[in-house]
Amino acid sequence: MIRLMDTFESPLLGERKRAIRKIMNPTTSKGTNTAIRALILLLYLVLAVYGLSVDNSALLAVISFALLTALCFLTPALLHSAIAGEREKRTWDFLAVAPLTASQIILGKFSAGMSAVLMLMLACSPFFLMSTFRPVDPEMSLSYPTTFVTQPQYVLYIALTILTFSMALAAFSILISSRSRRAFTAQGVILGLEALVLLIFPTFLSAISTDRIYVRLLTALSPYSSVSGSLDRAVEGSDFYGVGSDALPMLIPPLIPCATYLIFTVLCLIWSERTIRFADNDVRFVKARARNS
Amino acid sequence: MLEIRNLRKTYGDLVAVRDLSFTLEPGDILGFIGTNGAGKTTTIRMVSTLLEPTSGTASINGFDIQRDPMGVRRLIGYMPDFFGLYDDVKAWEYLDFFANIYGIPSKQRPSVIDNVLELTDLTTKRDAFVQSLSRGMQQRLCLARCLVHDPALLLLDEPASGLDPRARAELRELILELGRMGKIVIVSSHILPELAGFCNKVGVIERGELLAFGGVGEVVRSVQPHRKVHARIVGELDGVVATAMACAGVSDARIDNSGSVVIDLQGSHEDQAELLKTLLAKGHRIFEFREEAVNLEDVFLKLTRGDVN
Repeated sequence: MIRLMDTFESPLLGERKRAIRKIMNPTTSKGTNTAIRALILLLYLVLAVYGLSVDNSALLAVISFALLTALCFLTPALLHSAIAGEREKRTWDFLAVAPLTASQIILGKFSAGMSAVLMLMLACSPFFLMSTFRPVDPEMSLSYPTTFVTQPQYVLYIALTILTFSMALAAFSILISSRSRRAFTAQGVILGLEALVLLIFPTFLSAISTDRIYVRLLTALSPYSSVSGSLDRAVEGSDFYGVGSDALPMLIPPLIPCATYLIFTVLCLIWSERTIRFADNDVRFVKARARNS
Repeated sequence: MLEIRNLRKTYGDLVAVRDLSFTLEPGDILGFIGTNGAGKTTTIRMVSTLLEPTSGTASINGFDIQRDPMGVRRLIGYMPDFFGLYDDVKAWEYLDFFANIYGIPSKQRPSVIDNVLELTDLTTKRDAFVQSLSRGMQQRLCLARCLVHDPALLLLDEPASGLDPRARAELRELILELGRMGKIVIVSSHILPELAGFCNKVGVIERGELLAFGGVGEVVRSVQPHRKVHARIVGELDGVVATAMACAGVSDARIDNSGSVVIDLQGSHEDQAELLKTLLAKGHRIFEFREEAVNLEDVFLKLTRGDVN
């Protein structure tokens, strides 16, 4: 893969190569990296065993939610230190004096994070394919007569939702990282806001009312709601939403959340690029008191 | 060629660098001397395009730091005083990453990496993880990173800090070699005797102001117009001081505690040769006659007051 990338001479690819080497290199001496790799491999094996023992719809639901949840943690974990970590480890100056524009640095970091996300999604793609195209066992279909994947295009929507949400999360992580002094602070802020948007806010909204249209709209923009909706549509007779599968299709088409995530991605990347412009950091990130002392 | 013209940096009322101007030619190695907070790092950061000047500018081979920072960045290698390295990669991978950034074609990269590793004496550490290298080796790897794109100007901010004497000696040799290769090198350091050993130019800065700039000998002479000549004589010292004082260019002569004659000479090398000839002609048996080595530390202490911004 690295040799293939070498055929392109873009400086952006340096970050991707470094990220892939970091993830793939088994000889790296960092124990945590090895532990994370082992954990992902173990989860993957568990999913593989599970996938062979359940029907297609159950596998699709499990793999969708597991992948989405994994990426909710993995994306910030990969990118929270993208800029703040460089600043903290004092490696930032080397990038800042290199002939790279701010956009190239930001896009390099973004593409590095997305490479890891895509690798994980590719690793999970056999499960998506299996859940969509695996021949139905007649005996199993008798026990679960209403849980077939009848509309495969919604599986694609699920994958798109997960991918675009990961892109938004990656861009948001870079934005917070570029505006933080310390990587640890950036990580805390990203996970805190994620919990607020994905857990606390939807719970609060559902406590108010689920009937009002703006509540439904906001809820539908949550990746979990969006994936649930697509699952409902993909799997005839299921009700992951808990409100009836026919309640939302006309209201929020599956591609609307994806488009929203993409717009959010672009906005975050533009804001990040503006944050790390030429000579900005010395002023922005040195406390006024320290500058004047 | 590096040309700095009226470079100035202010933070509110504080003037960190005050209208700095000087020029360096290829092959020049400048020792940039100043106390902590004098403005050395701020100057280096402005030249390296990391910090925007308040006024004035600098240009490297015609590329202006404000108008064409990208052009400047291709021509400079910058090594900050405190730095970190990516610790999850091998030495060659680290260099490959930056070679890629600097646009070196992939086919050329292995040979470029091998060359800079050889120049910095890190060939044996090619496949070692960066975090496993000693501080001195990391310093050299950082220098190797500065060299991957063959820059015309090297900005080394306190490169010898934290190094043991052997590593310092190796670094000194390396900087000398870079000067011989025609690169302009700016080295800021507190270890003044070392700078005198390899710098051909020196700049003394205090409170953002360049107090002295020029060739090492030139700066020393501007501060210390007379040279000190030490003469050691076998036997009686009677009459030596009087003989020396009678010679042209001698402003003072005395015998120090160690028994050697210290002569302050304001004249030329011609006068110095004449002084030696006269002393020998008068029958003084001289077994040592030497000019005191240039002492940057004395120059630095005379020029500066220890004030910081």
